[in-house]
Amino acid sequence: MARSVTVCIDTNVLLGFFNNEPDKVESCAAFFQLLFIRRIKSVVATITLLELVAILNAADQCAEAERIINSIQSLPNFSIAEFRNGWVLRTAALKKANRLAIADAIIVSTAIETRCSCLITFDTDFSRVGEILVLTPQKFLEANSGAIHT
Amino acid sequence: MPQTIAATYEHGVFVPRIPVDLPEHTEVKLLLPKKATKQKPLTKAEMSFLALRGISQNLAGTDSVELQKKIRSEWRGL
Repeated sequence: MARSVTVCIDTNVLLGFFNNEPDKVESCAAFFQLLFIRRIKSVVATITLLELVAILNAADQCAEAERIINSIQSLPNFSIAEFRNGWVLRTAALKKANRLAIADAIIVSTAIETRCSCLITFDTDFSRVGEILVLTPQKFLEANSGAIHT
Repeated sequence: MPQTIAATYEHGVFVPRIPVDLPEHTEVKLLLPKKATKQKPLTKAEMSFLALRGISQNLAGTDSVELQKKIRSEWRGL
């Protein structure tokens, strides 16, 4: 893995952690811990924040949503990436080339435009994307084996 | 000719791993290993984030990838 690693985190990784999903939460927790210990820069797209809030609000968890957003915004090595006008053409091209949903294309273009080394997601729909390395939290941990010492 | 041996540091004393044949009070030189880098502690914000694990209890039983697909399906047709 490159010396200076920046990762883009997809919505389902954050949600799997906050939702305590048995098949995801342990790898997510270890992944986040590794990011924090290594001071690895992370990018979260604005659309991810919106999705988190929308999903939690739909389940009447507005207060929890607010706590999550405030917490993500307070993390020193996390950047919230707003979608820029200059990314439109690439996003549309990514959507077409990889047959992605438009929100998925926004996530991929955000990762590429913010110069992330990889996109972290559990969604296998991204596996056909060739423009950026796509990893699950577990695969990222394996690529950085022996890195966690709590 | 100088001899290199391994030793273990225990309770403030270097203990040779093999017997050495030296007169008492012989001065020796030690090559110390580089001190391991101490890990930086997590910030308060990072610890607070990790404490949010499982905060969305009302979503129990749902799958985050499916939830993501569902909300992103609202963009389909564009």
